[in-house]
Amino acid sequence: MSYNKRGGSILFFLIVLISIIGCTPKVDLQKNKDTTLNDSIVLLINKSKVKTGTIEKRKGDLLRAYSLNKDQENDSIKNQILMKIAFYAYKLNDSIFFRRTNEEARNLSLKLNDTSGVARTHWQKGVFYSKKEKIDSSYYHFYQAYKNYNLAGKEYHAGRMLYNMAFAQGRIEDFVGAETNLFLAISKFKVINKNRNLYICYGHLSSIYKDMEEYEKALFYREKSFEYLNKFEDTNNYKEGYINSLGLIYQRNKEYKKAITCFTQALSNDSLYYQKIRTYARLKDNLAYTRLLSGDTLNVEKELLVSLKIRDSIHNKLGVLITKLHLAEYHLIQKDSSTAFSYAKDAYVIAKEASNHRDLLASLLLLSKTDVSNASAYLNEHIEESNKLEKHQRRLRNKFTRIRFETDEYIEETNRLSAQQTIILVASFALLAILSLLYFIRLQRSKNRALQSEAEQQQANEEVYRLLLKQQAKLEEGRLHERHRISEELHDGVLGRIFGTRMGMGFLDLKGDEDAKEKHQLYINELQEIEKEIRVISHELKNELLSGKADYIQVVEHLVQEQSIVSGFEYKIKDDDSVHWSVINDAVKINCYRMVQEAVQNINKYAKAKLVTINFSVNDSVLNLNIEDNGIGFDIKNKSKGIGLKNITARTKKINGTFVISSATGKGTLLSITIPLADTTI
Amino acid sequence: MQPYTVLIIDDHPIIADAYKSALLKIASENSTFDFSIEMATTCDAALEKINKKEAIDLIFLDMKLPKSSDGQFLSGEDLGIEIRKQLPDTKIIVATTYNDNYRVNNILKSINPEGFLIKNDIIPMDLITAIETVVEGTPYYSKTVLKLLRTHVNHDFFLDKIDRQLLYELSIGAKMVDLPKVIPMSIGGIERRKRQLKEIFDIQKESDKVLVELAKDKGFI
Repeated sequence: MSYNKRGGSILFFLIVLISIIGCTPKVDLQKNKDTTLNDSIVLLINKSKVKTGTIEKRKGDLLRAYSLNKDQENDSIKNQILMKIAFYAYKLNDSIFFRRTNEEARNLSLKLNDTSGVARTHWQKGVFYSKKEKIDSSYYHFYQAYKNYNLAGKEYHAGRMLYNMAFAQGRIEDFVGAETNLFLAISKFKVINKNRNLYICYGHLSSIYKDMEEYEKALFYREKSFEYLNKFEDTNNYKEGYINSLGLIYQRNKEYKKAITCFTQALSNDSLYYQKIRTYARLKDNLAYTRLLSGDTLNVEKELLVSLKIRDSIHNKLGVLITKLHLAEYHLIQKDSSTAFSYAKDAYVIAKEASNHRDLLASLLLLSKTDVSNASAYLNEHIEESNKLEKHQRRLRNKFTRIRFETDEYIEETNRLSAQQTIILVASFALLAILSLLYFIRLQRSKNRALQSEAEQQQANEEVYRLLLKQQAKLEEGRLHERHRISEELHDGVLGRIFGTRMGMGFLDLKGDEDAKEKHQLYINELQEIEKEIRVISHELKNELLSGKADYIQVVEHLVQEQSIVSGFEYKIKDDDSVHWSVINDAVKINCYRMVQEAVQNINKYAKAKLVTINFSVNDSVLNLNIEDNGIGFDIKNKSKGIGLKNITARTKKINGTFVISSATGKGTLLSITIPLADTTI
Repeated sequence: MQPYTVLIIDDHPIIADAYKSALLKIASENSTFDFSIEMATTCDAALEKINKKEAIDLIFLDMKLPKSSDGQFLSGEDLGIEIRKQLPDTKIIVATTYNDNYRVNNILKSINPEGFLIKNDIIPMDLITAIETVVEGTPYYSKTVLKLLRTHVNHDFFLDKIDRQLLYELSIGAKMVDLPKVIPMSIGGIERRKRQLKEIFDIQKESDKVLVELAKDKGFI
């Protein structure tokens, strides 16, 4: 009944072992040629593999290899060797040594960030537990291996772990879980064209459906597996295994004829007996048992006994158990209760020993049928056992679920964390944005403040300048006033009195000689000359009011003079008589002053001028300010306006003026500024 | 024979004394002259004498006088106008140190004195000649005044009082903004007058300085 399961189990171990050996990365001998130590380690490991040596000797070799490897540096080579040692320790059934080395290999893998290494140690552990019938632990480790292989992007290995998991699930009749994992594994294998694995997966899937008694599906997938069987070289008598499985499906589906055909066909391969005696015995047993089921008892006992003998000879305990159950059934059908009872009893003992619950139950059923007097006791035990089994399976299934669930929970937690991370990320971005915004605002504000203070500064400057001009004007006025006063004083007072004196002297009737009279007249004439002189002085004092330079130009000249020292240019400042600075308002004057300042600074910076001419004139109520230099000039089209020119433009705009610049390379520069003067200011 | 009454108005006693010396000299040299001489050194004293309504034959009038105590008479010019009003028959000899055309013109227009002496022009002999000429009934102008009158005959510009005043103020460097304080016009009106003046003198774009110089040339200031 559960024969197929056992067969599958054997097959499974076989596959796992082969593949682990196969996937053990070959230690690169080339690379380690110079390291005799590595050579000797590999040599020792290989020595421990040789099956002819005693177990003890092989273990000793492995231990030596281990201690040699232990002193190696913690690199991937050491890790690979360590894993290999662990694997052979498992092979040599040295549980303690296996656990130790496997654990070390895992820790080293973690240390080296070798996810595949971690996966492999889990895999080995899973196989180890699987052999120890600790299905839950093995499932856990296969699952861990699967996850790690997935992480490492090793699709093939991940698929194989899925298969291993499905196998464990099948063993506890978690068919749905097994089905899911198998399909996952199949989808992985299909991508990378792993035909052998696909064959195995479909075969197992078929077995699952068979156990679920969905024979159609079982047949479908079994045939599907056959498709893949044809795609790779069959070195392992897979074909006979396949036909055997197919036969079993027919048998279970009570299509005995078909089943018999299958088994007979498989047995027709003569080489099978020599190559796969185990499969041969199984087929023999199955064929006989199917015939028994179909009602053909001819030679059944003989055939079953052949199979039993073979199985006994190769210490196939579980095979023996099955055949004994079949023999018991045969004798029960032949109404030979006592022989049947003895076979059933044998099977019961073996099953109990191997803690094979299924076959234990089958044997108990047979016992109840053969030993009618104790039937109820056997049946009770059967019930108890089956309950126990069910409980055990349920517990394991729950455990599996939990393993998955915990992982799901872990994934959920990860998701939650990653969501949290996203939130934190977004929040920090937002915070950053806000902070940078605040910073920007602050910067802008301080800039504004700076600009404002600059404007204030400028205003203050202009105010100071205005005061300066006013002060100068006042001084000038005072000076003029004083000149005026002196002029008047000279004219009206001094001049008058001299005139009076001269007249008085003229009318003096001098009683002297001619010489004295002549001298007298001379003095009178001299007095008249003095009068004339004083009058001239007086007039000049007044006239200077007209011709005297305006104070504003003095201020401008002072500025240009200061700047001229920097680059040593000559300068001429002209202001037309048409310009009455006293009546031009301060805003215009201040702006002109500043523009001259900007222009002269530019000249100092760039122009390399020898001569600077500044000309003020008024025409039709428009003030013209021309600033000309004979420097190097520049190409107006190619040059973006500097801050100086921008300032001049801004200033002319402020007082409704216009500003034209004309220049060419090597031709000097002329700034023409025109400012309309409001009527009232003229 | 009635003595010839003379009033000398001058705040400088020394000048007044000089006039007196001149009169006395004339009297001493020519017995036909007999002068009764009075003096006033202030506006108020002068006004007192004028207001007596007693006939005065000749008045020496200084242009530069401290203003009267009631503030109505600011200068000799104002006093001269008053004399003309009160004593129309009185002959006036103006003596002034001002020799600019504007003032001279103004005096000629407002007082039209019989004798007009620019102090710097004259020597003692001129003073005697002037007195004698005026007393005889002929006007006497010293040479600066004569020169001015001659230029006036040569051109036919007509400038009114405000034009002259404007030119004068410009010539002494008065600020445009301050002009409405001395000329009874708005600044716009003054501006228009100035443009008219420039047209009269046939200048357009040239500065005020050119205008002032031209006006000086033509004897307006």
